Amino acid sequence: MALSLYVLPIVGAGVKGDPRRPKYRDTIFPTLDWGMFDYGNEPWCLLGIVDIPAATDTTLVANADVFGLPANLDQAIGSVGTRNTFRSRLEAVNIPGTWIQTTTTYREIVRFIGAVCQFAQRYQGAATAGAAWFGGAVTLDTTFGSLSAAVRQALIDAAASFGFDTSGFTGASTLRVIIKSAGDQYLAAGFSLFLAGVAL
Amino acid sequence: MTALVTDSFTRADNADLGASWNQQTGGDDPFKVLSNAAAPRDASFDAAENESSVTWPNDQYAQAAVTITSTSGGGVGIGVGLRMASAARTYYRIVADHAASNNVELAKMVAGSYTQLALRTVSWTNGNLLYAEVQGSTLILKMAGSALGASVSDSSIASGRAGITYSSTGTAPSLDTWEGGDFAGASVVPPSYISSMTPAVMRAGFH
Repeated sequence: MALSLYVLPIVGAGVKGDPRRPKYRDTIFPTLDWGMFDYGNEPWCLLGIVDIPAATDTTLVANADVFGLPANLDQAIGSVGTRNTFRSRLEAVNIPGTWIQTTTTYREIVRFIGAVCQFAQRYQGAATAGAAWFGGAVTLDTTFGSLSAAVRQALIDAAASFGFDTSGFTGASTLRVIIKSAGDQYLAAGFSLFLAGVAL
Repeated sequence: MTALVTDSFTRADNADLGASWNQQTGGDDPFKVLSNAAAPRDASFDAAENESSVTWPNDQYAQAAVTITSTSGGGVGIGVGLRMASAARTYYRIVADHAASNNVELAKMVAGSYTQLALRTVSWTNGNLLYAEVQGSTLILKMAGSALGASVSDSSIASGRAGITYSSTGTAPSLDTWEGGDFAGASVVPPSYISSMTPAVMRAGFH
């Protein structure tokens, strides 16, 4: 069994007949086995498709809002150009990406994406349904202090529920720093990252 | 693994499963007892019930012998629920039918918002045990004892009860021999529903 990994949008209103699901599921891979991490309430996901035919993969990644990860996750990014590409791709979906270096492996990127998805999911489960972090004026550069009191507390509660150190969740900290910290702490704690039956 | 609650649904037909089964809040229909099994009250609507006779640990499993004749796939089916909230439409749902592909669904409901987490394909026979567990953030599914390769980490729902679920619209859905439990080494709690046993007999048999 081979698992192919992608970052792409989530579609669906989250109701019967229109569940939140990976974009292109209905049109490009309607019969393939898959699993996903949603990025909490954000409209993006990390998707794993089992044994995807090469032609289907080509069709899927041809979409501008999809980026795939290589089959060999343990190779390093390698070039400055590729580093910049992946930094931009993550930042474009509101996942901190400026930490990526040329020596970073694709597996480290995938695991980081998975980890921040888990943090976002915990926030999703604890906070008001549909309360996405981003949109409008809120970006990765938005400071913790400029968020509403309810959102600030929900971020702290989500992090605390994992046992994370929240001392960095201060007024001047940006969402980029906070989400990066949560992702790093999830990975450092050794919590699970299973997607479609595969340990990432 | 230790079974905390079992229910064979072997009792007279009834519109209600019993005092310890609770219709999920927020839009799901209830189940009924029909022909010594649990069936959705109306197969045209989603159904879910959580079991409340014990305090459910966060790490839990549920399994049931499932039966359905539908071949719709893509989220239609009968199955079990994990970490089901007592007062919200929040739970993990694992259901199956007999479609040729994508016939097993792992999904989450979070305050009524429905997200599919995985779709798998497996051939199975009515009466097979559909099993699901959640430990920490890892959900694992099995059908007839074989892992489905649908293990997914999801951190949205941290606690709740075990139970049963159904996603419409299927044909002739039912489940039997339900069991929910944990991963501790505690002794087995007596079955909650054995219609032929008196409380005195139950106490004598399990101590």
